[in-house]
This record gives sequence, C-alpha cells and structure tokens, in this order.
Amino acid sequence: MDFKALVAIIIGSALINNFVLRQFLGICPFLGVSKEIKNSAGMGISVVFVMLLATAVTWPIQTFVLERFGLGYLQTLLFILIIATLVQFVEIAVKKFIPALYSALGVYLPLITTNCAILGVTIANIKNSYTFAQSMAHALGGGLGFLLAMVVFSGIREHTENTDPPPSFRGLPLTLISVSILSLAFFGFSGVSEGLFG
Amino acid sequence: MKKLSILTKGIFKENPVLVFLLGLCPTLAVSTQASNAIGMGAATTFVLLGSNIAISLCRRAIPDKVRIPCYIVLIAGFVTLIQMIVEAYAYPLYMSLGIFLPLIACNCIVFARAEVFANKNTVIDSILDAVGMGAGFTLALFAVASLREIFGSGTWYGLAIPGLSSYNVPLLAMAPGGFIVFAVLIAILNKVSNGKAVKKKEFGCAGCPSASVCGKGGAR
Amino acid sequence: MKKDFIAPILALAVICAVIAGALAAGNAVTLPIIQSASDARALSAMERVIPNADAFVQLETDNLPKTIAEAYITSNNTGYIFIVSVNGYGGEIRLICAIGTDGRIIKTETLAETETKGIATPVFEREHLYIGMDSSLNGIDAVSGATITSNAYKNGILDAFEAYEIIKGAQA
Repeated sequence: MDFKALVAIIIGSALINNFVLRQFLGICPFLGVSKEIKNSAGMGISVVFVMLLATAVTWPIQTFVLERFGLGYLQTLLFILIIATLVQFVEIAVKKFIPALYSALGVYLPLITTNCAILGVTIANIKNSYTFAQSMAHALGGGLGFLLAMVVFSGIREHTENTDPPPSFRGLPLTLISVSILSLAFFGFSGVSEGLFG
Repeated sequence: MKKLSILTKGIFKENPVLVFLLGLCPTLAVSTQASNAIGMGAATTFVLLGSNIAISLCRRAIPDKVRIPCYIVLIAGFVTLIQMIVEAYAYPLYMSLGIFLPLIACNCIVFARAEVFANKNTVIDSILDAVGMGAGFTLALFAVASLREIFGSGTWYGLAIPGLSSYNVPLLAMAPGGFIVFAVLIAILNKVSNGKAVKKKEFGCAGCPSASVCGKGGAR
Repeated sequence: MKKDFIAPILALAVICAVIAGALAAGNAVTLPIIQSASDARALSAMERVIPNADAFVQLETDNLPKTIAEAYITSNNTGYIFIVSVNGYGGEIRLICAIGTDGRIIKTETLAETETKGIATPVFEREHLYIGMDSSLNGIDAVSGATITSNAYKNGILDAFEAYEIIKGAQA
C-alpha cells in the first residue's frame, strides 16, 4: 500500500471531487447550516468524524459479511441503518463522556443521519473497490472537503447577506449563484493535482 | 374534488423541489440530461409510492417510538428493489444515475411525505399524494435537466438541436452550471409569482418539513 | 415499563424481517437477469472489437498485471482480448482491448467510466487513434487538462500489452 496513492485520494476527494461543490452530495446541510462560520465549522467537524466512523464500520461489514454470504443486495438498507444507529450512539457517548464537545457539536449530529454525503461516501468506497486504508483516506478527504467548503462558503455568505440584489434573486437564488462561483473556483484544483501526481 | 387537490398539490402548489426546496442533491446532480431526469423521477416516484402505501397501511401498527427507524427500513427496502429493477431492465440508466440511485434512501422528499402525510392518511390518499409529489419532483428535475442539456450540450433528450449544438456552453453541463440554472429557475419563479411561489425564503433546517425526522431521528 | 419496550422492538424486527425477505425474493428474481444481461454485454463488446471470431475462450494465466480483469483468446487464434480495469480520476475505468497475433491493437473500447464530463471526454473520443498501434504507443499524447485520465487509459493499454507478452510467452 503506497502512501502516495493515499495522499492522492485525500487530495482528490477533498479538493478536486469535492463532495458538495462537484458531486452535489450533502447540499441540504451545506445550504442550511452555512450562515455563520462557527456553526458551519461545527457541522463540518461532525461530518468528518461520522464519515470516518461510518467507513470504519461499513467497510468490514461489506467485505466480511455481505460479500462473503452473497448478501450484497442488503447494502443500502444495512448501511443507512448502521449510520443512523451510529449517530445515535455517538450522540449518547459524547453527551455522557465529553459534555463540552456535546454542547459544541450535539445539535448537528442528528442532522447527519439524513445527510446523503455520509451514505454516499460509504457506498462509493465499495463501488470504487477501495481497500480499507483507501476507504478511510477517501472518508477523511471527503469530510475535510465538506468542512472546507462549508467554512469558506459561510465566509462568503456573511457578506452576501448584506447585499441588495434584485428582489427575485434575494435569498436562495443569490446563495446558489455564490455556490456556483465557488464550485467554479474549485475547478482550479484539478491542475494542482496533475502537477503533484501527474 | 378533495382527492384531485391531493394529487395536484404536489405538482404545483406544494412542489417539493421548487416550493419547498427538498431533494436538491439529486435535482442538481442527475440533471445533466433530460433522459436521466425522467429515469430518476420515475425511480423516486416508485420509492415514494411504495413507502407511502406501506407506511399508511402500517400506520396503526408502527409504535410511535420506533416510527423513524421503521420508515428508514421501509424506504431503504424500496430503494433496493428499484435498484435491482433498474439494473436488470434499464442498465444504461443504472450506469448514468450511479451512486444517486441508492441515495434515494436519503432523499428528504420521501421522508417528508412519510412523516407529514402517509402516517396520518388513508392508503388511497397516500397513493395520490405519492403520485403527485413524484410527478412534481420529476417535472422540476426535467425542467432543470432540459435547460442544462439544451444550453450545455446543445442536445435535448439525446437529439442534437440544429444551430445550437455548435454554440453550447459546456459549463452548464458541469457542476457550477447546475447551481446557476437552478438559481435562475427559482428567480424566474419568484418574478412570475411576485415572490409568492417559493415558500421558503430562507434555506434553514427549521422550515424543513422533514426537520422532525432529522431532529428526532434515529433509533431512540 | 417493560411492556412498552417490547412492542416497538418487535414491530421493528418484524418490519426488518419482512423487508429482508422481500429483498431476497427480489434478488432471486433479478439476479439471473442482471447476470445474463451482463454476460451478453461482455460478449457483444468482444464481438465489436473482433467481429469475425466464432468463439472466445477465457484464459487462466497467472502473473498477469493486476489491472487485467479477464483475458480471452479467439478460438481460431486471430487475437487476444483483455478486459482492463484501471483507476482514473473519478474511479474505475473499464476498457476492452483487442490485440492481434501480430502484436498490434485491433480495437479498444471503454466499457465504463466516471471521469469528469467535458474535460476528460476527449480521451474517450480518441480511442480510434490506438487502432494498429504496437506496444510502443507512438504518437499517443495526453489530452491537456485530463492528464490523469489519459495516463490511466494509456497505462491500461500498456498492461494489456504486458499480459499479451506473458500469454504469448506461456504459449510458445
């Protein structure tokens, strides 16, 4: 397992194939929670955490249980249940053992259950036939990319909130157009990766 | 008359995508081609129909405490079924929808209809509601996809449009184009209806019909 | 207290069991269709790259490059077919590459890819350039802006040539 390939996966999933800006995964929490930098950082960190945890659980289950017994068709069902249960356990555990962290992240955890980026990353790991290390790198990169996109965008959004666009564009249309420009900006990263790994 | 309004409200007055801004991920992601939009719309409608029927049938049998996990299981089950059907009978569609086919399981339109409508209404009403909402979702998806395909690739439903195919804007078929086209569509709706059409002025979780699902979600 | 614990769990378990059963049934019905359709697709892809073969025989050779998913030889010895799976920019690229007994490419085709639309598309539109190439692949340049996809494609073809040499060596 060479290290370079892992770094390439992390950079690739964080910057180039950014979940929100390029693959349209997790748009709802992205638009819903990106109003303030503080909240969006909290949400982003929770997503990184849950993505890593979900991958660490779903990958072995897929490889050692579902594939071994020819139950591949239960993938979607089982993964979404695992993620929902996992989020609950994490919430309970964090609440009990690290109250400080809970007060910072607690409100975002339940929102993650219906975040398609989490289910997306676990299914994509299997689809791309990644190894365990590669899957974890993919989850880490994807989560960090989500965090980055959220924080950068909430910074932009704090400014667009105070502008005075034509009435029809007020609210969501303006927000979406800002996302579009940010997404365009992320296209620049494709060149970077070619320089690094080409 | 009341039945008819259950059916039609999903298409116009309460269109899940354009009015309530639900299910944006698939709307933006698979809307590069009109044919994909129809396929995704049909698949989602199937899941909606299945989950609405199942949930309204079992609404008295499902204890309130575990209703969210039950919905998750039922919805994911129907998603897996449609995955199998599409892979067996519509392989090209299966390839072009890719990961967004299993991700119907996370589509908040399906959750919202289960929580807001199906668990309070009869089977017949739930079927009408599912068909209406499915049609509304498909219609919105089809509108975005048509705009993106016509101006982004110069084709429509795979057919080249004479005169446009050499002046296409590839950007619209790529990720940023999805956001722009949807933004303009919402802005036009705002303009036409004097700001009345789009119910949710702000995009926040509080106003989301599935907020109760997310907020109280999981196996509690 | 105990009672209102059991009923919800029972209901959830019943629903899970029913759904799992339904899925198993659905799987039993669709799996043969999915498999025969995928076999038919594989055969028609092989017939597209080598049209005049009467049958394809799968080869089980060790030590092939690990990107070679499957290797075939036509029953009348006109050429070899390799199904190659390489990692591109956005996941797996699955190619089919037919190499004639003279060591030149008969035809290549892409079976599946999830590369960036628009940017990487030219790579797949230039597949015809590979026809007639030998293992040096002279004159195949990367598409600018899509170097990773181009290189993945090219490396896949080179792996097919490597497999070709190994199989030829084993047969000699």
